[in-house]
Amino acid sequence: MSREEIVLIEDESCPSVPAGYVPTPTNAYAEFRRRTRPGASAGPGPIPVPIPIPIPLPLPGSRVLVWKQDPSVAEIGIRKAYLPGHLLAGPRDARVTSQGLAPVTPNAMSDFIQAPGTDSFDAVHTFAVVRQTLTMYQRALASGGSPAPLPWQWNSATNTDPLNVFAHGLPNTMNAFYQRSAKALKFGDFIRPGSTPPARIFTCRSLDIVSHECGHAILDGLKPNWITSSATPQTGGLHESFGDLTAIFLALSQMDQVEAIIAQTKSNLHDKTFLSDMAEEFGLALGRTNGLRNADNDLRLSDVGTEVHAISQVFTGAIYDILADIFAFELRTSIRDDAKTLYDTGQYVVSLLLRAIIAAPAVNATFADVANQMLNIAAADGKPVQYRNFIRNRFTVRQVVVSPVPLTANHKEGHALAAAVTDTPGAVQNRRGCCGTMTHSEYNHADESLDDELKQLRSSLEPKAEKKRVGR
Amino acid sequence: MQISVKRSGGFAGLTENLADVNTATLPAGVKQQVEGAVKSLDFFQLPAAVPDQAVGADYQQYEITVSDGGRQHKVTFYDDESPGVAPLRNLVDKLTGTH
Repeated sequence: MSREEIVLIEDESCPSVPAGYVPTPTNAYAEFRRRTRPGASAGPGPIPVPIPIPIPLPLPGSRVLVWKQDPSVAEIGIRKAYLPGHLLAGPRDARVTSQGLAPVTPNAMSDFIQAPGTDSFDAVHTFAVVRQTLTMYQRALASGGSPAPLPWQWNSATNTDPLNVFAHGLPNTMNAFYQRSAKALKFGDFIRPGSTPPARIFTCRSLDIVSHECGHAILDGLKPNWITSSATPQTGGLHESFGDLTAIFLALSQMDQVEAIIAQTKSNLHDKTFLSDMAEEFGLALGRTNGLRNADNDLRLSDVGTEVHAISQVFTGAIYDILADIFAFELRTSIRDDAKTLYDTGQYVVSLLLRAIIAAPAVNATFADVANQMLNIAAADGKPVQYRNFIRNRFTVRQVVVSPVPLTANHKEGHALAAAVTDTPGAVQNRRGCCGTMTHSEYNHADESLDDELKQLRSSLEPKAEKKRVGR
Repeated sequence: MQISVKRSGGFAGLTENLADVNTATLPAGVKQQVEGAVKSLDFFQLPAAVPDQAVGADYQQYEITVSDGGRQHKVTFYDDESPGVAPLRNLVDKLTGTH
């Protein structure tokens, strides 16, 4: 996409959507319309054609437009995305609700196509990124064909309240945050310092920022004690790192972004890439050309203090290096596309990290705790020893763990590594650091579909609730 | 009265000096507003750190330091939008608006 197009579509005075962004009806939808339009022939009807797998018409799901990264990353711009499942006006579904802006209504094809630069676009974009993030992590945990609903922190067998997403929730604020008590993500907007004429930056338009905040909400559902201010600096750093890594994993779960990264870096993840740059537009507003933070960094624990964002970059950098190492190890350019290798690597590393975090202590977890769990899980997954070597070596170089053997030797399965640096006792983290209407989900058994998702969620939480009762 | 405001944390994890104001240099109306806000807060009696009201991530932390007549007091709080910190946030807005 050219910069001229971006400028054009951001112009609020011209809120039309470029034709290329408007999805066309699917064949299934066209067939449905043909059969159901008023006055359609009731004659002999079409000759039945056997279909191996009956497909409901129309398929539930909506198309949306999203910024692939944010408005400043012009080389990849905007794309259409498909969100499977029923979406209601808002948008909202069983787990996520857009709040604070006028509800957006789907069109006749159940799609939410809005003009970039408008409030409606922001509501849909923000909802979509949150939804994609939740779905990505649920898929990462699904095993044996069984879905794995991830609860928000407040969810229980009797409370299935959704996460509220306020795309414009913090006016004139250079920030975005996750707030458990409000069950909410709130996104700020601000005037770019020194801009003439004043240019307003909306944090909700950044895939990195939205997925980062959603990462906090997801991790809070898994590890509710990690977010408290009394948690140690490394635990606070894990929370922030998980947010930044969520943005990286979300980009790697989207095939067009994966292809763009391969082309941009020539399959070298340590080359300059939007993948490792966090919140590019926010960073540019502060005069930084590599985003607000860069995952492809060389920081060690001795280089940072106790500010949670600073210390988080050590863990983020280690995981990014491990991702790059595994990708380089798995490359088989002569037999499969590098983009497929990168996609598969991203899928594995997100699953590995998520499972390691779940297995880590419930209170005051350290970077070394998660690193050791990653070693255990990689071994249990039957991965080659090189995977464990990458994990051990990268965390050793970052001063997270100490390797008792040279880094050229293979890691011995089951061997836990000692922490190289631990938080001093009592250390406190620094957090400064028809007409179509009837095809709408509202009229198409969507509530039942939402109920299905909620039933899955309740069901996944019931054993936990039972355990709590037993423990009292 | 000398008042300084520092902001840190948030999504960006930045530390910024937002204001450093000698109220004697302010226009009379603004001076009265700012000093009145400090007085109505009973600022010198506030705890050094306002306890967290709402659990969350990426809140911005503010640090307000007031020096007046030989006294100096520093108060830090997280802007979690809770009613408890609203008066302090209003003071910050008044001060940053004077910049």
